[in-house]
Amino acid sequence: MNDRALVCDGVDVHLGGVQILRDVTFDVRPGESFGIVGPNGAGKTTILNVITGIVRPTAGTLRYGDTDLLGTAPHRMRGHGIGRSLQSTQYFKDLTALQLVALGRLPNSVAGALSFGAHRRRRRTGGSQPAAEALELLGLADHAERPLGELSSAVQKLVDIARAVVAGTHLLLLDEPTSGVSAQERGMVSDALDRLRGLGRTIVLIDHDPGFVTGNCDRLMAMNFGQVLHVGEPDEVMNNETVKRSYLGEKEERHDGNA
Amino acid sequence: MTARTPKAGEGPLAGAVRALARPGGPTRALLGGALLAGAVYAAFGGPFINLIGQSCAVFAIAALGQSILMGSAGQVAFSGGAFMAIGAFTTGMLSGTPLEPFPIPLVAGALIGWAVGLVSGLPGLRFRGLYLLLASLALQFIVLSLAHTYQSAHHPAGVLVPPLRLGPLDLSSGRALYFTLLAVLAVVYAAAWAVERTGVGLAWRALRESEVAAAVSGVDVTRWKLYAFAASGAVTAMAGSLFAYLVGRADYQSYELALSISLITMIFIGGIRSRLGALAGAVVITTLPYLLQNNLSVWLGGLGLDAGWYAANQSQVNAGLFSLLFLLVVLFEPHGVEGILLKAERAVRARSRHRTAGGAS
Repeated sequence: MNDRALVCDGVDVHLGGVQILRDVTFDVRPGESFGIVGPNGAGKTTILNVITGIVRPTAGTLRYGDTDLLGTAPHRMRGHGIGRSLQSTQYFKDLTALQLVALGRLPNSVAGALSFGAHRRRRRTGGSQPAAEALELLGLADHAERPLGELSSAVQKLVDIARAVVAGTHLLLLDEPTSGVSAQERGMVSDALDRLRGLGRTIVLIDHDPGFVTGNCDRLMAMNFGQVLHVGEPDEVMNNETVKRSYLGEKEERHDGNA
Repeated sequence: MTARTPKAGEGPLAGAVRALARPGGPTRALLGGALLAGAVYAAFGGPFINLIGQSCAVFAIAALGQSILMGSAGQVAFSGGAFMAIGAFTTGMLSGTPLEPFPIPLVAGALIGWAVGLVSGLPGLRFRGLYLLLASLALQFIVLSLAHTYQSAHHPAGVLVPPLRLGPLDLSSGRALYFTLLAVLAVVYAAAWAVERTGVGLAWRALRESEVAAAVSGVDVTRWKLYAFAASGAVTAMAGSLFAYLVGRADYQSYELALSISLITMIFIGGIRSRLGALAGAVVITTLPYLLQNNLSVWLGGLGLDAGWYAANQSQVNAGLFSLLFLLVVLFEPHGVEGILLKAERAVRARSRHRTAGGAS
């Protein structure tokens, strides 16, 4: 079913004269969970922006299976099987969970959109039925009719992931699914990721919580200053000296210096 | 698919009760009820009130047109006056031709409004916010200068528009005209309501919230933005066409920038996020000058003040007053009349919840 790899080769990104990404090369294997770690400003979100067509690289190639992703508009990504969750939950506060998820399947043709029902009462038409199923998949069926603004931040994040999943996407780009989520609720997000992995979805995950990323990913890529530092197994990456220095080890290093 | 099992008490009445119980339900009921009462009063309250009602209906359609663009789709534009001018001049230019019979000019105005709306959305594909506003301002001046040029070359006193007739029916004045305008308003309102319930409304809401978030979700931002401009242009042009029938001519001076600003004031005063709010704002801004004209001198006289300066500078003073009103609304109650009602509703709910909780303990 899902045998497409994401291959990013030599990608450079310049924004307003500043180089944001430099020669970024990595590949994500079908069905794996691939984490991207690094300090703020390392270029993690920019990589997702490149994959989803929001940012155009100045050099390099990007392929998903047989598809060349460069030059593809953001809204066409779901057609290629790529879904992305949003870092921020500040949008869509007054949509219900069901409506937000349905948005992930909204047709862009006038006829399609006009016959697209995003209300429970019109389940059988348009997007409501698949949206309800996507919510159920992530254990969110009880929240379907609640406005997003009333839900906890973990549930909001999961609803947004359901929105990224609902179009039948098999590569999921998750942008900080635990930011703003309480420690108790992180388990919910982990469980949801497990379910998606169990279904053979490929996941690219960015998160600030190193424990969450190592626990949920098969491989990691560490970045700093727009460059790839190391790609490998989570333990290996986290124990790599360069990675520790740039990302985790600054405090320890200072301790060493004092000692 | 599971068939819906009819529950006990499920009928139109129970549905209405449930709709009323939902948050925002009482607000909508109150606003809608007040508007309906006003509409009935305007129908039977005498010729002068009727005349005001006709204006209200026309500007309510224009406000609906603007609220599609600015309320539903979250875009900004200063070109409402231009689109009304497009409808009015289309109607004027078709008079005397075989296409004169109503509602052909109305439909033609809507089609041209749609097309110009599409074109006017093109800058919106590259610009946002202030730049888009400037582009719409440019459109306003381009359309008005074209209208001005055409009018001074061919009809210096304005392009004459024939009395409104539908086949053998004379709908040109009084209650007949009023009900005709209300009927068009009702059709436009119902169409906007029906369209915004579908995926089109969802797409517009998404791009109002965030264009990037919408695009990432798979919404073709370009396309839906253009459709918002087009739909808004069509509806606003219809209002322009009807306004031309109402006053009997198309005169570019009626559609200057001040009108665009009035239209924006209407949708903000009523409540930028709601269609009923747009109607309420249109009624407030349309009736206020008449109220002031009739009563302000009396009030000022009662206070021992000379009202002569107001009578002499009425339109300027009113424009200033409306701008002030607009500023106050944006500063203190960004969701307008609807926002105030919603706050009151929430307060009442909180209080009754408190009371029932107190009674239970």
